[in-house]
Amino acid sequence: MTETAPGGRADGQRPGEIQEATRRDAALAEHPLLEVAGLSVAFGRRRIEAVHDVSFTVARGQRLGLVGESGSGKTVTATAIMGLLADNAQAAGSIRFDGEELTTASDQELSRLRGRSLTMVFQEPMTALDPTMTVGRQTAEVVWLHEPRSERSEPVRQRVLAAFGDVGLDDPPRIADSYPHQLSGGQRQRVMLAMALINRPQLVICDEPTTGLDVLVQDRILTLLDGKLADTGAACLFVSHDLAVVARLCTDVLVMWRGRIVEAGPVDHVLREPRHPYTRGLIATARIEAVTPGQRLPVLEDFMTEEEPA
Amino acid sequence: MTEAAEEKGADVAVARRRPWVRSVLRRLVVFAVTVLVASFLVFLLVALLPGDVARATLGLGASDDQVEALRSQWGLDRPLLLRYAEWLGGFLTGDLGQSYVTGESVSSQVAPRLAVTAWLVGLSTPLALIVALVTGVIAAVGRRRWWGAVISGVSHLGLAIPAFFAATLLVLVFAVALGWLPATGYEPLFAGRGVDLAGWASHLVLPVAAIVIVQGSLLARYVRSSFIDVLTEDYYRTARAVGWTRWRAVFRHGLRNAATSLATVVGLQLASLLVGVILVEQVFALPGLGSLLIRAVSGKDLLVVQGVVMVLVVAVLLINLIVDLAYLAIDPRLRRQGETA
Amino acid sequence: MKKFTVIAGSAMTALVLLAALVSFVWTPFDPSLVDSANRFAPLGWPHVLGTDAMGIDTASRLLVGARTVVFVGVVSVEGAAVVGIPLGLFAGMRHGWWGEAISRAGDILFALPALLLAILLAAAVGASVVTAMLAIAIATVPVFIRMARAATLTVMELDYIDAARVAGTSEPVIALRHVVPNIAPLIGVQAAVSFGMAILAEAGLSYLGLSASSSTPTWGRMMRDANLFTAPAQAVIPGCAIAFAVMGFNVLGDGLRDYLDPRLKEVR
Repeated sequence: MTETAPGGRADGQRPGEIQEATRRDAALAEHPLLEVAGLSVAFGRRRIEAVHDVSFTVARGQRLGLVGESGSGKTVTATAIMGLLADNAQAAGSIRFDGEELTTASDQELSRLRGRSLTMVFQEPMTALDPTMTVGRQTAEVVWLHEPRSERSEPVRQRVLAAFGDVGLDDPPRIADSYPHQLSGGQRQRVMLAMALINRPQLVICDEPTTGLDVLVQDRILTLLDGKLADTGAACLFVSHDLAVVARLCTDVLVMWRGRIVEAGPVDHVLREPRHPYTRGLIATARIEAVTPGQRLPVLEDFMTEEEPA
Repeated sequence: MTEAAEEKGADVAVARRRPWVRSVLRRLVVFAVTVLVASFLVFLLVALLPGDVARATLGLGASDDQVEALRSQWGLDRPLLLRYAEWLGGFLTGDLGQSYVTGESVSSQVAPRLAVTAWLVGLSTPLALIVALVTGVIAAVGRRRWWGAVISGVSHLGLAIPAFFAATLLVLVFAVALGWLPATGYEPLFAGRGVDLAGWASHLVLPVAAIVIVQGSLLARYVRSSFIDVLTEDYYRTARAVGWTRWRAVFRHGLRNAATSLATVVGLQLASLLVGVILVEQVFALPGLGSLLIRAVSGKDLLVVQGVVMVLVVAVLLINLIVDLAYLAIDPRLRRQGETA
Repeated sequence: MKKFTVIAGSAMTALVLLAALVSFVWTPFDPSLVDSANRFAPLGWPHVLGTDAMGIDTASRLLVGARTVVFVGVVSVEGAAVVGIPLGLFAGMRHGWWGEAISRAGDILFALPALLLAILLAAAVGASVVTAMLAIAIATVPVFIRMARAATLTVMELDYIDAARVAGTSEPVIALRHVVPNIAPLIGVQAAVSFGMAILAEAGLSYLGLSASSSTPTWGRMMRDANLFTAPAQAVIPGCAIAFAVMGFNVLGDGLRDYLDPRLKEVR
């Protein structure tokens, strides 16, 4: 919370708000938390490009959604920021986090950031935890890794149990001593959230954190994430294919299509006046309630014919 | 939290009891049955030979009466199952009978040689595992780099070389050409009163190295593929995302998860390891079980053959059992299978 | 790259096969001609790879030795496949007692390596190429049972098997028409790898003097007969031949596995 800029968690781009002026001054005084410039990622020997010349920034405390269909390059972008691209990927461009250039940083330097100030919640809670260790231990490791023993004020176990309680897990001691296979999908995703938040990060990257969970659990996890981000003042890059989910959690949104950013702006703006046909398609296909029974459901291609960006 | 209350599945409660007791028992029973079946097969193969042991021993000139007398003296005229039971009982109490050929006690021949073979296996298995882990992990992490490909290629070569050829090459280089180490023979570690470490070690270096080269290459390929599997797992990515560096993540989360499949492979490979040991003993003229076995085969000393094979088979099964139990200890998921199975 | 491994493996195995075939019509010298004046001839001319302790031309023995490699490999692997694959198919299609019994029996057999089996057989009926082949075949059977069973279990999960069942197709027909074609690539891969193992096993048995009689040249026996101190090349040359042949089949197996089905990751 100490790292939150003045003006709370309001974003730096929503127009017409009074606190906006002070917020913007603060943001200008220092660099944005995350600054991606001209990022391109290609895979393999034939250099197949998955992300092309992507630029955006995330301010402290800002919540940015990154929307697109599968294969649009959104997950690759998120992975590139974490520095966890596969060996056969080549990234070009610049990624600056808190003023530090990440693309040229060594694995050691990146590892110091990852899990402490820059964390990630993954899509698949069922497989994202090591099956051979209790979840409590895996969470404790995240603390051990980033905090020297001398700086710990309370036992790590206490921290872990508190973090588990914070993310709404019942009976934290029991959960902590469980192995991943003994927990449900929702419980596992809560554990993942606890791991991502335990070191009070500045930026949490969420890669479809609710996909694969059933609708009720999905809803609860989103509410929880919303609350926790507000509590800690952490910024968030939320990757999803679901505009509705992004609209609920984020203030701003980027729309990615075929490896490029085709639309950017505040969520309500983009929803109200989408400029790019792909975005229009996304919005229309998301509104099933607007379709009268018997009518053909809209598909993305319907919106792509009028204008085909190169 | 109602959700958490719903999610408090019954499985947690079950896992808290001690289901592994059942898993352990199950494996013990399987082990006992396997030993029983294998011992019967070994016994049967020798007992049902076309030629008669007694006649073979006495030679073609012997009269039927003489053969009959010898048969009853050795107890060969009694029912098969009875003889099997006796032999198995003897085996369990450490008595493998008297050799038909030399009249010597089989156990007294096996015992001193067991030590030599045990040293070979005991030293080369952990060494091969270490070599395999180091090279396999490097090959897995560098699978898209040139150094990973080189290591992978070398292990391919090691896989194709028979153990006795590796042994021969080592002898040629280190014993014949350089003269650093003895080419053949063995000196026990505890000779007479003192401990002869130098003599003992100098005779074991090359045989152990030969086995390590062959077994190490084989295991390295398993290590490589199971680590490649782990490297593509989501939990490895999680480990990297929370701040483990590449190599620490590989060893922290990779080793634990690869260990389960590696344990099985080491167990399965034990049979091939023993074969390698028999051959390597032959190259170096080491007085181990392998050379005893080969000598007994050429001398038609069937009871010795039977005894040594049985000792080897039980050793393989026993180590597999230990591996299985270790497996249970490593992987918490398996402990639970006890009551679902 | 994938194609390269298949081609390299095929070329290496083809070379072994060619050597075996050529030896029937031509060898540089008579492979059984004892020439005591020319014992331990060095590498050179006319004995390209030298001669052994009896003055027999090594190159000629090497060519003839390839016959045993191919013969033992083909017979034992084919024998094991013919017995093991139907058993594995059966074990994979029947979940009940029989399937369990077959795979358990396979596991037990698996603990008994080919060499021990061959030693037992040799002790019982005397060592020969036949006992060696039989032992290698028996020891290879469980490998095929396992492979066929595992593959069958996977195929049986597929929807079109259910469709065939619903259509009233009988089990043997399902096995032949749907399961076998699906696991055929795997069988090919396994056969190549097992071939390499069979060569290794036969070489080991020959080296121990438990395979072909001394009059039949085999690579393992050539190593056994070589004197490391006087003519080390006579041990190294057949050793390299064994390694070359085994590697050829291993590379072919690996290449085939990657080429036929990229989804099958390295299993070994």
